[in-house]
Amino acid sequence: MPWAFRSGGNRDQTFGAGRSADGMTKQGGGRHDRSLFNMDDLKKTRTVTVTNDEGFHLRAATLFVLCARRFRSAVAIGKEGHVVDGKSTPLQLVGLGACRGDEVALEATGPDAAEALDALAALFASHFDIEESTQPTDREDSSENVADGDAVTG
Amino acid sequence: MKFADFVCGKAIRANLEAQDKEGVIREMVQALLDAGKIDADEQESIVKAILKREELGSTGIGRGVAVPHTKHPSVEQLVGTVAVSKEGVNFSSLDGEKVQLLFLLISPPDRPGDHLRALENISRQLRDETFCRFLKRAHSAEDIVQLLDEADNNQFGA
Repeated sequence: MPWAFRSGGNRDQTFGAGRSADGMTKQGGGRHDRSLFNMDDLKKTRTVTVTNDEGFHLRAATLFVLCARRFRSAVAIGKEGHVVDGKSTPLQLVGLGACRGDEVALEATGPDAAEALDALAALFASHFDIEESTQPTDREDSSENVADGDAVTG
Repeated sequence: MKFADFVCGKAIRANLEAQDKEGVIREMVQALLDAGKIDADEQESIVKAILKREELGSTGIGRGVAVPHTKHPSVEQLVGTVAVSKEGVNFSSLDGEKVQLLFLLISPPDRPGDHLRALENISRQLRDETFCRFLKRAHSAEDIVQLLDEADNNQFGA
C-alpha cells in the first residue's frame, strides 16, 4: 500500500510560509459551528511531490478538480504560498506551474477530509493514470487503453 | 514565459468562422500553417493529435476558455496561437459553458516544461477578468496582439 493511502497521522503541514487556504476553511461550517465541532479537527494537510515527467498538466488538473468535487470537504492545493481552490477550474490549477520534482501542498477541510486527501494523493502517485501522450508517432489506436481515465473520477 | 514567447502574431484570429470543436481547431491549425509555423505535410497529423487529446477530456477549462494542444515531433519549439469565437463553440467544457477564447499549443515531445510554463502564463493572465473580457471582445488580430503585449508588460496587474 503506497504511502498515499495511509489514513490518519498525516504530517501536519501548513501551506507555504504560514499561509493556509483562508476562506476554504470557512466553507461548510465556519465560526457558527464552533460550538458543535472545531473545524480545525476536520482539516487535514499533506504534501505530495509531482513525480511524472509531464508535471501537473491540464489533464492532471482536470482529474484533480473532478476528484476533489466528489468530496464534501473543501479542498485547496498550493505551491510556494500560491493557493487555489481545488474544486475551481483546471485553468486555476495549472496556474501553479507545478513541474516534476515540485512539492505541492494539499489541504482538505470537512467530514471526509482524510478520504479526499487519500484520493487526491493517489492521483499524484499514479501519475494521474496516464501520461498526456497523444503523439502521432503511435497515433493509430494508442489512446484506446488510456481513454478511460474518467474511471478515476467516478 | 510570456505570450510573445509562444504566440505567433500572424496566426491570431479574432473571428473564427467554424462553429464546432473540430472546425475551430482546424481553423487555428490552418492559421499556423498560413503563418509558416508548421509544415503542410504535418497539418493533418497535428489536427488528429489535438482531436485525440480532446477525446481524453475536454481542454475547455472554464470561463469560456479552451486550450487545445498536443505534443508533435514536427515542431522544434513551442508554437501557439490565439483565436476568438464571437458566437462561442460547444467544447464539452467542465462548466458546460461555450468557449469563446482559445489558446492552441503545439509542443515538442521532449519539452514538457515549456508547455507547463505556457499554461501557467495563460492561467495567470486570465485571472484578470478585464483582460479576459477584452480578449473575447477583440475586433481584430491587431487588438489581440496589443492585449497580449500589454499583458506581457504587466499592464493588467495580474
